[in-house]
Amino acid sequence: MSGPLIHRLIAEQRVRLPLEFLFVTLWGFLLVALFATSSTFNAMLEQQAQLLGPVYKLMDLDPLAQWASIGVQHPLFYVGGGLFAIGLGVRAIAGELEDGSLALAITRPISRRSWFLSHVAVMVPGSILLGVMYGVGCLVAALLTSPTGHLHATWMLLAGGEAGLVLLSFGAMALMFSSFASERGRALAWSVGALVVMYALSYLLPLWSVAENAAKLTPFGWFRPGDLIQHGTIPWGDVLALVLFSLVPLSVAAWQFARRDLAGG
Amino acid sequence: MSEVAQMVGVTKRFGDFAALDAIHLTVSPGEIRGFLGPNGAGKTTAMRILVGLLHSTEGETRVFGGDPWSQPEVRADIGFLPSDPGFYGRMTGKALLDHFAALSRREPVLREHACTHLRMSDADLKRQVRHYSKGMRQKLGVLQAVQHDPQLLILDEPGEGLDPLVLNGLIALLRERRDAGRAILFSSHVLAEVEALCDQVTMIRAGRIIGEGTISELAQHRARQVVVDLADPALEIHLAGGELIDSTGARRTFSHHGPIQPLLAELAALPALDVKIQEASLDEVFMEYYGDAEHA
Repeated sequence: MSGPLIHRLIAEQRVRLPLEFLFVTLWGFLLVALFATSSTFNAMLEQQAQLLGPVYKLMDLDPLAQWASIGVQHPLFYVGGGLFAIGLGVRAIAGELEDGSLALAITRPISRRSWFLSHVAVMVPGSILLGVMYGVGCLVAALLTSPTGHLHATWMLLAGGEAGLVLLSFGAMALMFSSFASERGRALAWSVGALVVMYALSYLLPLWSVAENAAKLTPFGWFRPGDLIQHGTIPWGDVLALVLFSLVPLSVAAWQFARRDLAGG
Repeated sequence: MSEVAQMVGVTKRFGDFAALDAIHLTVSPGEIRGFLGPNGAGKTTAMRILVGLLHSTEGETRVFGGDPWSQPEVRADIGFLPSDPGFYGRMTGKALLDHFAALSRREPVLREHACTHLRMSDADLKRQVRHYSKGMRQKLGVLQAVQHDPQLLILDEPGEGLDPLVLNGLIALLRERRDAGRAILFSSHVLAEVEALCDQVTMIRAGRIIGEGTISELAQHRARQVVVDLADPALEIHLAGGELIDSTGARRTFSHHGPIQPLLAELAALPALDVKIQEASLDEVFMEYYGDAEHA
């Protein structure tokens, strides 16, 4: 890994990443605060929980745990939290190649492996922290608004960390597409397209019993935070699957980046 | 004199297209080598192989005895300016130069000196790069390549976008580095720049090296122009190795190939009032090498 490179990558995130931290924290905060203060909202949740129970894996959970679980699986969380990892992944190779900056940086005595690992070294903690900040938002709201039910701090933060693994898998996929592409737009389109398809597979196909296992083909299918939020049961199998959903595309990306020509356009 | 960079029989194919076809190229210490060719001839591809951005399909590339593709450490002593450099626009010029120096693991010992040559002030370096003009960006590109005083400079059209004053500064800077024993590979479309700067020239066309040597060596193989003003306008003359290309009044203009000594002897025997011999300029050499290809 390269210290100067990591330093630059962090410096480049000095505005965007805090904004994303703020977004996911506020998202968690508002969900729990609304749950605690709005009876209309509670009635709506009850209806939604019946409808979305099988999709968001909400069965047998307390309403507060249900709500916290929905929030961390919601498309808005994935969009807001995933921007960092996807942006970093897309820019790491295709973006810098298109901009012409990669040719200046990678012709220094820095190996491609070092370039790659430096990006991963920034992406991993950033993604995990984004997930954890959702938990922080929920916990602060619970502390301030005293909703019905209880959120265990450690379990909530662990669930946030697990959500971070989902966000990391987005970034790993973006990095993989970036390693094949020569333009930022193409890598981004492939990444977003793949995520939309996977999200649809995970949350729509299970509504039909014939395709209920299709979700297992995507990271979303291995993210069921309800049990962890309510009972503190760490789903090690899911965690392992989520880690693999990052490791596999990262390995493909590393292999492709090490062998490819770096000619722009 | 040992070469700092060497390409031996290097071929690079992109699919079916051969961008380079078994080229041989060397750059030695204390030498400025001009790399000439029309657009798409393969100059940029060759330079990118030398800095490890591209992998050759066949042949061997050595820089300081190592392979720039698989041994990144050999790139510590290279300064590279690509033809289309891109920068991190939100960084200041100084922060960007510091960043590249840190990546190079070298102190920017030559930065101040190069800034003087390129007329780049401290105030310029304190501005964000995204506010730079094209010329300023080019100067920054040259600075990042030379600031750590590398043993080998690979510059793809460094004069692009520079005003004449800064261009003179760049030429002086590169001459200094050459005199300090650095090896420089330099491509340009501006032949006057190459003529003013380069000790050796390598000419490439369609991925093949078609000429190599000093500018005068290359010119020797090309036609020179001989103008003879005769005392008698009716006189018909012939020159061995010469082709009459114009006859106006008492003036005869020849295009001449071949060694100069027999020509001088022949001219001395003519009843001429005046004689002018003009060696082929680099422009003419270039046009002779490449003109046919364009018409083909």
